[in-house]
Amino acid sequence: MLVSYALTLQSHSYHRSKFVNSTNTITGTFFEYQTNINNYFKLKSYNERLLKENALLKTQLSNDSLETKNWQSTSFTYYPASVINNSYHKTNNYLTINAGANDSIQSDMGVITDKGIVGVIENISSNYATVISILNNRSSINAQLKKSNHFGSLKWNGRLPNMMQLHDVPRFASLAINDTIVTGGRSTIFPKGIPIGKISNFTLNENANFYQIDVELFNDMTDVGFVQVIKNENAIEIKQLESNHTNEK
Amino acid sequence: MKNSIITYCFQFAILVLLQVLVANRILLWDFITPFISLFFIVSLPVSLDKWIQILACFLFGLCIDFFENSGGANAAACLVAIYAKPMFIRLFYQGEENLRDLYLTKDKPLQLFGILLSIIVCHHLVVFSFEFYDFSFWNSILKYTFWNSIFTFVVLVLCIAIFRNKPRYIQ
Repeated sequence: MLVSYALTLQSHSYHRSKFVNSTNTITGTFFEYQTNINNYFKLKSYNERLLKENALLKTQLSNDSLETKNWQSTSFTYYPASVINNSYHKTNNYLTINAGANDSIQSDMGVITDKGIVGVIENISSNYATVISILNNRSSINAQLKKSNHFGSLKWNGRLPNMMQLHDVPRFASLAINDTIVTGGRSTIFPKGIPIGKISNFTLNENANFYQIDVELFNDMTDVGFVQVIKNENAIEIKQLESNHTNEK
Repeated sequence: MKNSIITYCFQFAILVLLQVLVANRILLWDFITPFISLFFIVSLPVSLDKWIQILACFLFGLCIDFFENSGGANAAACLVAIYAKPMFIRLFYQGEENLRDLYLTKDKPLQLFGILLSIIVCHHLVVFSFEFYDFSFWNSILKYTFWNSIFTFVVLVLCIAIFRNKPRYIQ
């Protein structure tokens, strides 16, 4: 009983659920067999998603939009992967993807789809990796309003799988329903400007200094399918600089 | 004896896979899942050494935890369920000298349902408390336990009616 309690305890602290996770070969193989069968029934919708994404990227490329320039100037590399296991009905949800250390995947890389963000890589084995879903109590993502630079932390209250909460946006930010929320780019995990969702409701917090914003996700977290893992080539350099700065303090 | 060990090992593997690959995909109203894996705990013979039962159930729960990334929630819940099982059998089959295995028999079917429901509720309370791991979610823990228990109960009764149906109980 104590052992199982200890395992539960360590699984609830960030970066410590090392022992009991689904990155091992046995669980990965079974999930992969299952996904191979399931994917046959979803090929049509996945193809449509890819076509739409291709069209969007080509439009951005031909327009040479500001966003494209930003993405090109920062050095982010994208690796494709398939989701072989996905939970969204618990309070601490995880995904398992079929890419691991052999595919250059490392911990703390961001995971996105064509529609928005999915989570952050936690544990990796040679061929598989687990992703802390954004629908996880331990997840906190830096996000901001697309139309201004006011940012906050995106968290999940454990209730609806299509609704998250953006905290700590200051009261002087101008908000409107249906405003787009994007990633803030203040961490090394996600580049700035990846779409997350739109504002569905907002209230002023009790002490009236910060907004509490409900964000309806663009991504359907109940049907993720395929993802891209983002590697920030400058992550080590940035972290080193930041740790030097902290040490100096 | 050798045959029954192989049977239980086979049952162990089949039920883990059935739970994680099939039952976990059945998400009624996005949160109700049948815990068909409890059939393993129900069908373990009471005559088996207590420590072997406890170890088998711990490993059984741990295997499910590996697939579900749930830490030790299922391992803990299976342990509580196997520990509480003889107590519930004694409680519901009062007056009987020996513990009896759980079969669907013509005599005392209601007692069997009582034991099943008690084991299920015990298991679910632990598993959801560990998964939520925050008692501010107590209403969700109770809601999940209530609805999942009903669904699991129906599935387990069906399984028992098919695989553990005896016209008369012989001790």
